[in-house]
Amino acid sequence: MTRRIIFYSASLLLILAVCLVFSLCIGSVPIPPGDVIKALTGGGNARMAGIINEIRLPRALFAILVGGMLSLSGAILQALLKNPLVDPFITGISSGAAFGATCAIMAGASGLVAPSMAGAALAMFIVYRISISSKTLNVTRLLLGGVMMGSFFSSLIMLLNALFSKDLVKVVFWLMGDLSNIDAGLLPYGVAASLAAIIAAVYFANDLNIMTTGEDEAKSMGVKVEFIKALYFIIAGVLTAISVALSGVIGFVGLIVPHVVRAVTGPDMRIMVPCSFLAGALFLLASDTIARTVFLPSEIPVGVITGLIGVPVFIYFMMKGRA
Amino acid sequence: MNYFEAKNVGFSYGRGGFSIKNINFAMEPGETIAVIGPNGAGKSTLMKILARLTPGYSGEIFAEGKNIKAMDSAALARVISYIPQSSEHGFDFTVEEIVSMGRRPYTGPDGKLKPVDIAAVKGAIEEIGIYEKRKAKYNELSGGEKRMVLIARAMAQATPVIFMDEPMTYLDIHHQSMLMEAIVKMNNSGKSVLLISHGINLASEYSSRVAVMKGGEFAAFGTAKECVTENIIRDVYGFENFDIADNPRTGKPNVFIGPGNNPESAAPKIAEL
Amino acid sequence: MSGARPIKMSYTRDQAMFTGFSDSTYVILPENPLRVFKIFFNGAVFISFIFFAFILRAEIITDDMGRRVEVNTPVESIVSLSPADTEIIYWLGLESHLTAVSLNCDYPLAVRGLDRVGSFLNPDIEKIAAYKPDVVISGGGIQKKIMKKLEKFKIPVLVLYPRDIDKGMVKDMTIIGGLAGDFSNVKSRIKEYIRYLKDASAAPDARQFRVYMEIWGQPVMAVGGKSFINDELKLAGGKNIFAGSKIEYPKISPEEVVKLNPDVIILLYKPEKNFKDRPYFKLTKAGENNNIYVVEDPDSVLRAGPRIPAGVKQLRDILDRAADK
Repeated sequence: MTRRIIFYSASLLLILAVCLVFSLCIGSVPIPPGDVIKALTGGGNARMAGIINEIRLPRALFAILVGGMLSLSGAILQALLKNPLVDPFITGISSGAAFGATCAIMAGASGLVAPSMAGAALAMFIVYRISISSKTLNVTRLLLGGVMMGSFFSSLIMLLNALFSKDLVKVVFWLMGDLSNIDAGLLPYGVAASLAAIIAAVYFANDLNIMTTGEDEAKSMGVKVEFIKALYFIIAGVLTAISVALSGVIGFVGLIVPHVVRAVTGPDMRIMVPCSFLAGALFLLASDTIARTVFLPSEIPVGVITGLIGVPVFIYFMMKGRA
Repeated sequence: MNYFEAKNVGFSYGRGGFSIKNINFAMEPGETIAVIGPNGAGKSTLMKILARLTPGYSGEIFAEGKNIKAMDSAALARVISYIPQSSEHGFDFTVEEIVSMGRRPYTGPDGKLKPVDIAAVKGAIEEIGIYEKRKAKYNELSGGEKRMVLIARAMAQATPVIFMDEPMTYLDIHHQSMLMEAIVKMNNSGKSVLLISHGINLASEYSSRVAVMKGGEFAAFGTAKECVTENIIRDVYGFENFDIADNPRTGKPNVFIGPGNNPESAAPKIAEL
Repeated sequence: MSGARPIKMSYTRDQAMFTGFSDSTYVILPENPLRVFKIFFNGAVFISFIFFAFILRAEIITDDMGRRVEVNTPVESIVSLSPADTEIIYWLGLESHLTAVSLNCDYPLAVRGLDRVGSFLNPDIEKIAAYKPDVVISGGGIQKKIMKKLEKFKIPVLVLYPRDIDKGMVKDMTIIGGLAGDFSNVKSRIKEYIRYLKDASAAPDARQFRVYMEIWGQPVMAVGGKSFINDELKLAGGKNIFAGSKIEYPKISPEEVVKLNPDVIILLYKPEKNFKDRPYFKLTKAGENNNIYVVEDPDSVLRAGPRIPAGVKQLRDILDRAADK
């Protein structure tokens, strides 16, 4: 078991490292790998180093973090809700975050991270309260509550758009997801949150496995069911909230990546946790690199690429599974 | 010491709803108690309460002499294991993985299996006879095979008390007999089994005592001979056209029903084996 | 200086006389012989149509979408759905004819007392129809879908959005000015606009800076070659580094800004506190020389209305500050 975890994780980590270096080489100004390494280690031409260290590297790292967080969140929610068709936005938390950001855009504010987190926290709180019935967290109500709150916040966003149509384009673009202009100072927070989430999620991962066979059965085997539900809901929620606050709503990552990972590694969450994170990081890094280079000088919204690549890959794995 | 004891256990679904009351019994090592009764009598609800899966009961329940109310969940899981009537497994775990989950009370949250755990899992799989299927996906098995896997899991959990909710449902004859064999083995090794059964005759044959439940209470509790009687069966199930005769091979009372029993009664027609 | 361009419009002679801007030439089409022939050819119906049209002085105005719209001039009641066109109406002194505006019309302050008929994106058709205006002025774009509905109420809709800040603006001001009939005040205001624009512009021999203009930061959107803001920059003495883009406001890769290395960066919105620390700013000449500026009053730059000269002046002041460094 541990061997499998190490094998899969190490492979993904290796591929990720290679993709990272590759992605640092391409952009408006192509930079050969040698120079990239030089820039990373503190040498090289100042402007090149600036492009690598100040623009491309932070962006790539955010792609890795956000991709990993969304994917891990999706994997957790799929296990919690026992439904492989769930994506992290089903909890309504992303719509809450988007609502917070929309309010901020319309109020003319430019810092969108704090308002998004506030909106996400609000949504999470409401959904959590809805899901509690007779002091236990009811997973069906969680799902319903999440879908309802998601729709509710989306309607609020559309209302704001209708009333204050001036900023419609900005809101639409933000909602489509964007990694191009995130404050690099937020990187340490993202890394800390991701690490904390991975560690907590892996430690109790086997209990989550057991819960997918049934709540009563899990309880009868000694799993602290209420604790596990609350813990994983919070982990998934916080990861989603941070992702949306940093980069808007990037779709498909949280739905597709866990699916593909599960097809390769099996459903054991002890493997799925690190591998979903790494695979999601890889997927989003690749998608974002494509989005920012294929149509230069323009950039395509990264959510477009995750959909265009993700869906065919997903269908391929689905068909393969059938056979 | 009794492995399991219920004293004045009751439960109510809230104002004027269905309620369970006056449940009193104790289980001895190596015995099987079957709970029978018509639909809606409260059998499954009772089992869940006794396994501490439903909170909010009145009265006291003791496992290995300790009150289960305050017991730590892992400690309780080392005493009672529970096999539900049906379960939906969301994902494709293998048989081996499912049975390994039964060791949770001994491994803690990280689920790391020590040699003793691995041995217990292997033992359970072999004991039940599903060794060839151990790498198969649980969701791809037949109903009977799935049930056997859950039994193996309960065995791996190595508890002195095992609860089974209608384990015979969906089982073909072959697996039914395998199941009965497994229960006998459990009894022989000193474990007690509490099972809910729709089959009066099966209950009669394979249990040492029977509890007949109706309307949330025990209408009768004792040996099969004491409980499978004309009066009790008529009273509890509302049958008219039936006979009770002893199985010539085992001496246990069996119920034979004819047609024409009140179709509106809540009791299902007992399928003869 | 540009030659006569055959334009499919018909002005009255009065209007054509007051354009007075030496760089453009408006051509009054001669009576098209084919048209005259058609009129005669179609006989009595046509003659009586023209007779009644003359009586009611209906005009056919070609708007910025090329639509030929029939409006009964002089108009008494105008509804404006476009903030820029509302500003033009006030600039030309025709606000007494303005009945209602959109929610987005916020300048000048006097407009606050007016009734509102929905937002720019979502005009309230019923309310507009209830006012029975003689003409509705629309900013086009997403408002196109309401045009058919208003036409059903027999309300003419003129779509006016100037494509450039000199000829296009004058043309639209002329059209709007002509709606009210009395042209004397209007022509002087139009001339004033042109003069202000000239005054705000940089001298032709002024130093030309390469400028990056950003219209939004998340995602990063630049001012492209097709936008009229591009023209404002040109007058102010700047060269837009994204002038080659065929889109008005392209969503660009921040690295492109680093690659094109502008001398000056101008933000047309209020950014976050430490916007100067953005990596793709710091790595340019503009960043190195601290030539990153935020426009004080973005609307005058962003809105294609009579405040454009103020917008150009802002841009020019910024470039002057950069030149002084």
